Amino acid sequence: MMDAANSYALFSYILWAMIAEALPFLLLGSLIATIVRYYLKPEVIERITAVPIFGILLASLIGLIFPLCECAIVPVARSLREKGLSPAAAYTFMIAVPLINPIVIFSTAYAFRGEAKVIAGRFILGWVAILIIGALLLLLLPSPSGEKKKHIHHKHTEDNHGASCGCASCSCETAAKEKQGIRGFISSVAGEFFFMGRYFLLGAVITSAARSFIPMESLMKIGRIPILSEIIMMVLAFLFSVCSEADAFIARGYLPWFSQKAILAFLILGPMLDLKNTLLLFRSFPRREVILLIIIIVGTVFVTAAIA
Amino acid sequence: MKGSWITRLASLCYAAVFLTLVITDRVRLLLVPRYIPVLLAASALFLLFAITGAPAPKDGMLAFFLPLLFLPGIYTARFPEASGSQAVSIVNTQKPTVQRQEEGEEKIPPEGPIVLDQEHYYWWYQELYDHHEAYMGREITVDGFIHTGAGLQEGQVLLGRMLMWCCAADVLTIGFLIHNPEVLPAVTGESQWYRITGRLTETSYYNPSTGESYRVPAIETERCSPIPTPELPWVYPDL
Repeated sequence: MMDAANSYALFSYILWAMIAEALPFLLLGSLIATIVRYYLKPEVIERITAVPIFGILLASLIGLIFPLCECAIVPVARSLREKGLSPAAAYTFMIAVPLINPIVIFSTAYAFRGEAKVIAGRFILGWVAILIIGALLLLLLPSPSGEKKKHIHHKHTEDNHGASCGCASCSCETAAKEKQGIRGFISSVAGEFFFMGRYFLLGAVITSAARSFIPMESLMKIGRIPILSEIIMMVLAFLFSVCSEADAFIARGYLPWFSQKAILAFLILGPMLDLKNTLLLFRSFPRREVILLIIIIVGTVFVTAAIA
Repeated sequence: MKGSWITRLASLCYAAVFLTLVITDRVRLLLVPRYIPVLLAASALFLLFAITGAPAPKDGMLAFFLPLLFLPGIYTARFPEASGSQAVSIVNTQKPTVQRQEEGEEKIPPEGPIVLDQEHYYWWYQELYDHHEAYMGREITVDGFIHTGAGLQEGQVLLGRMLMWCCAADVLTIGFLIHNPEVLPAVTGESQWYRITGRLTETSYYNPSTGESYRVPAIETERCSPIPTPELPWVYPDL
């Protein structure tokens, strides 16, 4: 049992490690999101995703040439959504990019060298799960059209006037003003960052508490029980919120103590859904959609890993 | 700009914290060194935010200041090794797929004692796990803390080091099993560091995941002395 001083130290180290590692990537995500808002024409998205299933397919693989981690991806997905990308494609993009990307493939292959089943399982089953999730979202979340689509950004500009979308249909004065010059652009990036950052930091505080105080030793004792093993690792993937670049090394440490299916569930779910970003999701997208997304992700990953 | 003073203040705080972490080298306790340029770039961006200002969200700005309460923790205390979920240790049972390291400046010397210093720890650790049969009987000196917690079986003792992949939130304990743990001093509650010198041998490690037993390197302890915790307790893979 740790004493109070050790608990404070451990919590402080984990919290600031997460902040120092992830905040720069949230800044990067805010920067890309602002570039998307300023420069990406909605017509381009409409053209690319004219066939909805093609949009899902593209979103599931774009991480191979556009690798971003889960800390940076939410603002980018939000800006793409505001530019007219369908909810299904935007969410597919958001869950796929942190998993199906070269950095994660390399780190997983390195961490699990000699364990081809785990490496192949993570990416093949992960990709299949992403496609299933995307297809389900396509069925359950119809793409908004017309005026509604054009003004979807107004949900966030009420709260975050500075991170305005900059689209032609936006009547907001700030957007027009901020489009003038580099100062306006930087101010928009900052606005996006401060909108996202507050939820990210609250998530980081909660995650650090989980990382500091969850007794792994007790969980390892029940880690070989079928089904329960998977559930435990999925809960840990959510609570621990480990960066997808590093999660394979953590999972490698758990391999002797949890079933391979459970390890796969951890490796597939972690990049898609974690505690650190969940508050962010609820503030960035409609609540109903986020709840649906979480249910679909958890169900699909559980079933995919169970049949692995 | 309404509300911008608080975003300017938060930006200045984070630029100052990140720069201070780098200047005081405390950052190496939180992140792998390859992230330092990223942190400096983030500091520069925060300084730009402080200059340009940004509209503050209606609520929640307190979240930016809450973590500052925990900043003293990383300046006044050291990372408590083998605590919380960080305590999971890994005994490497991977099948070697890399070529045996060739002799050279950065490789394990072909003869004489093997001293696993900070610089070489990770790569030599990998080499010793992959090809330990080639080094059997060699004298080895390793620093680390005694670990008997999660990830090990009853009676097993590991001379551990914390391996950091990205940041202090994703560390694992790695190290070498001690073949004759009965010669070690009784472990206290605190993480005491030791320098162990002994002979490289091998021992059996049962992996419940595969149901197989593996031969892994171990140290037959000859000398063991307590040492102060090093300033930099981590091992970086430096990939």
